Amino acid sequence: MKKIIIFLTVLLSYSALAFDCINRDEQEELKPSPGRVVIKNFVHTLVYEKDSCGARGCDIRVYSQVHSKCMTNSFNGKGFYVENTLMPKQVTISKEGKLFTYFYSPLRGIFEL
Amino acid sequence: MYSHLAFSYPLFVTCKDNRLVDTDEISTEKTFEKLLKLSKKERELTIARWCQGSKECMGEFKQAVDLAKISYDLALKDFETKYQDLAKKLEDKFVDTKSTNALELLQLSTAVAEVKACQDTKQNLTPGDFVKNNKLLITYPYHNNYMYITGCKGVDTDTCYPMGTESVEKVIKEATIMGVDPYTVLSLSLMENEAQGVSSLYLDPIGVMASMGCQAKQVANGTEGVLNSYGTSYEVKAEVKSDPKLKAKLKKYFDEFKLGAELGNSYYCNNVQGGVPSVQEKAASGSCCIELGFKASKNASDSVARALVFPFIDQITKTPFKDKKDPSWRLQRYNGYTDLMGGAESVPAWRSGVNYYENPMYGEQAMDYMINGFMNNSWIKDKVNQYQKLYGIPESVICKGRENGTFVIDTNMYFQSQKETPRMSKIAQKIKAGGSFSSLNSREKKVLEEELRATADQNKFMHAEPKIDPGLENTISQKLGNITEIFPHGMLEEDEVLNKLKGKIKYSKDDLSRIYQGIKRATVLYSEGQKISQEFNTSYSEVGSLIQSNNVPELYQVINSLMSSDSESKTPEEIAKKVNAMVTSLDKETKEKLIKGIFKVINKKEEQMKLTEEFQKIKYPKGVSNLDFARITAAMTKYKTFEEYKTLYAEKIKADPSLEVELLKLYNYRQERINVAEMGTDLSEAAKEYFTNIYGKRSTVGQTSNYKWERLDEEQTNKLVKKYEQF
Repeated sequence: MKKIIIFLTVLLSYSALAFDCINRDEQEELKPSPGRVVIKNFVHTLVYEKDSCGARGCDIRVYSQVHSKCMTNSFNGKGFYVENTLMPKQVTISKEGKLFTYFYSPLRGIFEL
Repeated sequence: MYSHLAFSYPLFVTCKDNRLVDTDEISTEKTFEKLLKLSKKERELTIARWCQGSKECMGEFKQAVDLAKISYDLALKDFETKYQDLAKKLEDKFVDTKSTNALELLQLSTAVAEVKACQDTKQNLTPGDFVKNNKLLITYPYHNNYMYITGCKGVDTDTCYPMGTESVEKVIKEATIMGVDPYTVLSLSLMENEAQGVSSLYLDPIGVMASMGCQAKQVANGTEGVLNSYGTSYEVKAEVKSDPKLKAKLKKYFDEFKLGAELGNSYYCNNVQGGVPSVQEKAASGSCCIELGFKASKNASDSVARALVFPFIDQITKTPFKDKKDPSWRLQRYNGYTDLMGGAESVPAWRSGVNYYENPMYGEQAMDYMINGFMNNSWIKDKVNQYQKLYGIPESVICKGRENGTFVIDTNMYFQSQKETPRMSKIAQKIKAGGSFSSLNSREKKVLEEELRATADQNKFMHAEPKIDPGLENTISQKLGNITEIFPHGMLEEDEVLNKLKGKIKYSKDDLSRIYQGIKRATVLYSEGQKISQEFNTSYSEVGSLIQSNNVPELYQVINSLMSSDSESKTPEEIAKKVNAMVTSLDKETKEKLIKGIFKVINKKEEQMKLTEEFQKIKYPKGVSNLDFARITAAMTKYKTFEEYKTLYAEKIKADPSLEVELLKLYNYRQERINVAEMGTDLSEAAKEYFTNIYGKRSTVGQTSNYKWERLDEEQTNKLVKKYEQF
């Protein structure tokens, strides 16, 4: 599906443009711990708690580095993560029998359909 | 120990070898009657046990008994209050050792027969009394979001869609054959579907694949010999799984439903390259298969898929969740745990912000369905007994991990617990401790922002955004040939914007000018960034395909290290050196392609990073909030008139007149959004206002829901029952 990006939407979503760097709470989530799945690559880190996984999937979060000192929460979703080690720069999750692939927009710092 | 209210509407359950062998329900009133009928000595002993020696508590119960001599009704009311107060002080929801066996503790052993007799009043309704025109009457006692179990979403709903007896019986039979507690399956089915879909419990195909033991791994698009679905390619491991217990259950399932299980063997296979999973004579190569252990026809493929739901449920309820004893914690696994409901995907406001690790609401509601929807229904009980006689009694989630004996469950407990479940308590703590909206983490912000929007009409710092069909933009875009900007527009000059915002915003003229210039530059950078972003994506995909087709995934490490390092040289020579060191088997031409590709990827990434850093370096006056940015940028937007856009799309509108109406709707929406943005919304102020004046009325699930979260009264019950008469 083609995502339409309009000027106004972008400007009204200024917080996304200004990159809301994650705080200490969220940095903790990126550290491995028992029961937590952490998948890292050069710019993205995907995490989910195994406890969060049910018949409809897991609560999946991705954090992305937007520049050397800033990581942002770039994806929140529920579904089964289809393993792709975040390559080339996409997250695919399976929800209710369908696959959804979210592509990373480096300038906006988020994954979008 | 007993739970709060455990004495008020208890359900006695008898467990043996993890199996539920008997259930009986009594009410507070009946318990009180039993207490009155006991000899004085027995009564004193019972009260002493309830009160665990507390003289004050014993005195209060004695008072209630004495009061009964004057007014039974008053005494009963008094008794109920004391009963509940007492129970609230106690910890566990379940009686959990044989020494505190419910019957022993209540000292009602001599009266059990009478209790049962009272219970039999309900039981005396024959199973047939619960059925009308093949629809099942469910006497669910609450007015809440889950009352759809009755088939009616509300007391005053015009049309109801109750469960069909055939569907319910099928579920009971299926579950029992597959060795899974039918009450659990019915409850989870109702959590996932409305009443009519009780037999449609569904597992995600990837989940089914996992339950068969096969894993999926995504690979680059264009890779040959892999599954391509919805534009994404993934690799599924081809293997044959064989589980003797599962085979035996499937055989029984096929025999009992006469699905045709003949001597021989066959396989249920999912082709790793796609297609519909089906029963095969032989384990198909290149497929993920399970051995069935009998010969089945291809027509039975859907039946295997359905039967695989049951082992999944068995699996998730097998072990306790951490050290939790209550069954609701096991059932919660079907949905999964989250510490912030709504943090991942949006959920209705009444349950957003709930922490399932503290309140497993999903599991609690499944339990509530079980004990208040299904176990008290004679028709269902009759069917369960009927099939359990034939196929055996499966382990029950209620009895798993418990000693043999009779225990008590408070039938009001799960309802009450959900009703009182706190919402957004962690966020509230942070804000009340002086935190601002911006100090929250991103998931908390998401949940709170949705809550602020949901309560915008009560919050003086919020301006309600206009609502619009979310698909409208796509519909219009497609009709116009997939264009990216439906309403091309410009930007107002600085003077015009300054005049427009004069007196409406707190910034000085100079500061406003700096913000204007900053946004203008950011807009240009954004536009450039879009282009670079696309180029980066394309070059990365090309390299990804090369890496996949040549099976050299180790090269991702090269890309990885080059992208993450600031100081390292990233010249083609350096890249060539790294590639050559890692890959020796490839021919010269392929290596060169890879080096060129990686070089391009690195360059694009660097361009992106430079752009991002420049973006970050734009200087704005101190203290400009994101909301002020939004206000000012909205004020800068210069749309043309609708007539001009109409002229622009005249031909398309001529061909499809409905397009004009749709365009106008979207245009008005855009204009309205500008108005709202110009007014500004300070989420930090709005959050403070929310937690000061609104949160108190929405801090629990029961308070926030549109349903009353109360017991249905007689009139409401009669209304619901009357609806059944219309079937």
